[in-house]
Amino acid sequence: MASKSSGRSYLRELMKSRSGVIGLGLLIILLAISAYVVVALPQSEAYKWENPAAWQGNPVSAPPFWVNYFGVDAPSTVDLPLTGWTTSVSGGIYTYTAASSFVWSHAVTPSDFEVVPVFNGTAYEISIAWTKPDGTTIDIIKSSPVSTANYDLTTPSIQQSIIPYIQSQTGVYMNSVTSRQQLEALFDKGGPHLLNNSVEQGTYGITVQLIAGAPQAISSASKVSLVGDSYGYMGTDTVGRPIDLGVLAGLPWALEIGIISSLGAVMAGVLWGGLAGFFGGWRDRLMQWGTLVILALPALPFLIALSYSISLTLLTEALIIAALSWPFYAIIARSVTLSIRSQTYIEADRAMGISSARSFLTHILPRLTPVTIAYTALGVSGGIILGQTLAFLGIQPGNVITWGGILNDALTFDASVHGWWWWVLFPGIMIVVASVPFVLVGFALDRIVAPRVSAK
Amino acid sequence: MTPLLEVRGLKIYFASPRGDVKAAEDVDFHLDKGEIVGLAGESGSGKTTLALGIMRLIYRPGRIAGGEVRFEGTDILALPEKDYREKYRWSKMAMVFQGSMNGFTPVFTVGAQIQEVLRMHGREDNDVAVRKLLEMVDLDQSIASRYPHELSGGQKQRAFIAMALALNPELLVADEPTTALDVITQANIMNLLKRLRKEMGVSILLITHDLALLSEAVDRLYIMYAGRMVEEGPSESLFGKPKHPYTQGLLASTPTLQTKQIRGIPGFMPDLANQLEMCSFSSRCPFVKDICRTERPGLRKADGGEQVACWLY
Amino acid sequence: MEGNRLPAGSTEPRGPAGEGGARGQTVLRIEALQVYFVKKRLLEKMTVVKAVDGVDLDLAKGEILGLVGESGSGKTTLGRAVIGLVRPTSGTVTIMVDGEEKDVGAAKGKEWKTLRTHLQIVFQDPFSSIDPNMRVYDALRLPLQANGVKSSGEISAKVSDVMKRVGLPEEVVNNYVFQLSGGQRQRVGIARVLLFNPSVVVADEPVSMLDASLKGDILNIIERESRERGVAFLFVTHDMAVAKVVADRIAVMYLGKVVELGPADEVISFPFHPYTKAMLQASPTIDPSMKDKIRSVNIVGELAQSTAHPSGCKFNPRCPYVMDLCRQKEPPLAELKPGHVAACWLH
Repeated sequence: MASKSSGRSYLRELMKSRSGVIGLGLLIILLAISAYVVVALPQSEAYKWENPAAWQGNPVSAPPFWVNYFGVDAPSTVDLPLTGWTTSVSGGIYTYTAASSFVWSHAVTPSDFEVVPVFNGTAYEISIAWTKPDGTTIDIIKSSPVSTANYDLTTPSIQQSIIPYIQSQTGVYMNSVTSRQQLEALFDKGGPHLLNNSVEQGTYGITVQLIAGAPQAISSASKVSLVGDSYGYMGTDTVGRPIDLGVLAGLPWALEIGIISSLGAVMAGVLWGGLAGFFGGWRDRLMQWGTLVILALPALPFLIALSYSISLTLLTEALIIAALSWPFYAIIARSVTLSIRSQTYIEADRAMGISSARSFLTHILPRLTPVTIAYTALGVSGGIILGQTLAFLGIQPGNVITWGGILNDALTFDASVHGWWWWVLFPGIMIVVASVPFVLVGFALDRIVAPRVSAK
Repeated sequence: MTPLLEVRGLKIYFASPRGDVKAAEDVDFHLDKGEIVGLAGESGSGKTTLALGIMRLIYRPGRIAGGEVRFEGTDILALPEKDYREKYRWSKMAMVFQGSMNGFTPVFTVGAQIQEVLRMHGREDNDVAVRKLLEMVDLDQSIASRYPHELSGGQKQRAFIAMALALNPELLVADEPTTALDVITQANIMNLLKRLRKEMGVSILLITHDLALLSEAVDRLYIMYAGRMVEEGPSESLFGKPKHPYTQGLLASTPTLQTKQIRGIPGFMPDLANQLEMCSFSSRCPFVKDICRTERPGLRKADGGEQVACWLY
Repeated sequence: MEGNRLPAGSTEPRGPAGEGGARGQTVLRIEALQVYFVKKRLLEKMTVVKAVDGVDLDLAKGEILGLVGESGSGKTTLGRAVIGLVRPTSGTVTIMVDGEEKDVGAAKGKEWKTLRTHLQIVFQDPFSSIDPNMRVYDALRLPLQANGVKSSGEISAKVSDVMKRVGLPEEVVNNYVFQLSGGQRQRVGIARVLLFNPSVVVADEPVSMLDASLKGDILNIIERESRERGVAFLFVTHDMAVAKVVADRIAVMYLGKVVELGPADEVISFPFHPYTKAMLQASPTIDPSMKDKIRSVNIVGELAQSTAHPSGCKFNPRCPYVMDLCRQKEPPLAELKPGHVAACWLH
């Protein structure tokens, strides 16, 4: 005995099944986050992603901050604002001094150390003095001329200053020093075992002095940055880009590709299969042949080939994915249609002079709708995965952040070899997480629809 | 003498979103050895459900909600499934269904399928045994090597009866055994059943909606309506002078070569999920009285050795 | 032996005679109809199923002709061919429309469509012949619209009319078909057919799937429509008793041919053809005295599955009176009594 199928009754039945409720809940959450991302993260973020310079201040290849809770010592970036600039003027020379101090309680050094004075104009000279907890002071740099710039461990003059200090402690003269060695020099206990990785914990001080010939307005944005070893909820990649931002930004596109391609594939497939089943005869055979040919095509190589011949946008990519996915639905729709067609009411229509087109619309299409809905939900996960797979292979529309793209970078930079698990894990998991709600809802719908997929 | 089959107070309910559908309620009936007893009713009367209940073939969402079914004195409902299956089902009581001809699998020959039944119950499964069974149902031995699709409807039905008789059961439950067959084949099958009773002593419970068919075959019969028995008694008095208004209406609706005109029974069967304290037939009864709508009549004695559930008696 | 074909109306129709003007006028004529189904697969032998193998029949206005036979007799195919759902392999089916003769078998396209309003069919299974997922109103509206009735006022008037004629309360049109019982659905099936006031209706086993208490009402509706509106019914059934209740004349079919034809009461009380006799012998009546007796049917064996028809009289393998002649030549339909023909060498 059939019962009236309507959107509302489906929703009600969906709510009765546990997987349906969970799926629906997750789906709403995903869509809400997606909407937020679209609204809150403007397009400029995508451009920023491609520009390494924008991520200067971030630690590179850093794990997420919460690894600290698991016993890994990975300090976050600490920004020390340089405020309280004292001014002294004598004879046309303006001297600006600011000092800052911090307590270092980690057993590891920061990954980088940056001094950023922000001001207009030019100064003759900048000098930075570093005070260790035991009282020793090292003059790190004396350099001119100065305008707003970042001074970090790659700055040659800093390196030059540290080499003599190392020699004074260990007796060894080094021609060049790595960043790591510089950091050791600055943070380790003094003495012959300077570069032994035994970090001295305690209060450190930094004094920055600027000497200029004219008055300068020094912005409070000036800071010293102790770039940490961890960043964000999901860490960073080799350029310092936060993975959590990438993951978030990638969500809308992933969902869009999945939904649009699935909708397209299912609607096209069901219509094709339904008509084939309804026509019968040579038309059916021809349409079946077409279905099987496309079904037999290896999807991925063809998608790759197609994507090189067209300009790739969200819509066109969704279209070509749909163009290779529809046969599956056509076959299902056709068999449903065939079973309906053998029903007497189709013959009765003909006996009463009702046209086949109207027969199709009245009896067959409404019975295909529930199947369509269920399979659209299930198909989204396929679309998402296919979209990300293509992105992983480098095929995606420009200026779009994708999880597959992030994974591609991870591969390029040998993330797994280096142990940068966060770079691979989070984008990868998101692909699954984005699919799960659709699969849950799809299966729940399928179970509701299945007993009704008959001619009665 | 203990009846071969005795059913008392049987209740079979089906769970549904609207509550339990009472397909059979407080059903009592019995069948003595060597009898052919009829069970008549239309769709929704509960007759097929009753037959399945006796054979313990009720599955979810249906369940046997009460009552007992005694076969040769033993309550077979209380037996563990294994015991019932090994000792009773098919070996003491077998069933022939309405679409029985479709009860054969198309990939094996008819003979092979009958042999399988014999083998599964540890009996002789050689060709001779199969031939004897086919002879019993007037089928030629060549049928054994044929596939089901090569046989006509009547031949298939007989072959199924042969399979039902394979273990020499004492009771054969035949549920609409001739409905899909043409009238000539139907007469042949009915003759066969009568012969089986006479020559082999098989007792038969014949279930059908066709009253004419029943009248020519049964010793006693029961009329079911909306899950309950409404009239029962010996065939002569029930057909000669039907008492319950439903029986009368049913007879008036049965076309035979004698009838000039047939009537229908107006109205509908009541909702089996929602049974009120009144006579189930009252909404359609031409003789309805006030008491019929407020109290349910139980079975009471009437003449001719019958029992009727009606306030008119 | 003249008169293989009887002009229609030469038998006395049941019920008040001479009613409604030109009663007895032929409205449908079937001549030498053959419907063969050919199955030809690659690398396989061709099989031909001769469903209808030479049938002549006339139907008069307002007449109910009972077409009786078992499955495989060709009665269903004959019904379908009369309506035009199946094309004749040879022979003609002609219907009288407004005084003109129209060939149903040859009609194509638009012509075929216009015939729909004159030729209709009621199907056997009320559960599958109407889409259960529709509202009753729509099930009646769509055929009207397909045949040129556009205005909603006209549609609702016609719907009202047919609902009354089949005895269904008007509110039922708002229900969905799946909410109706089998008997109600079958009434809707008949209502659907009456929308056009057709001249010929094929009723294909219309009561065989209904419970006993529902049969009577449907049969009464059919009788009333034929009597009051002059609709001619070709009533196909396997049940002789049902045919007796409702038919004016009865035609008995066997393996694609009509073997006996005559007034209903006559065919049943004085059958000529051995097959007819066997069917009548096999039909049960309300008779408790039969319980210890065998109902003897004078016939040999059962209808075989094969598609090959025997040579000579098609009934000869099963006939208890078979003679040599029967195996060689097919007997023609001969008028053995006025208005009553049979095809048998015995007569």
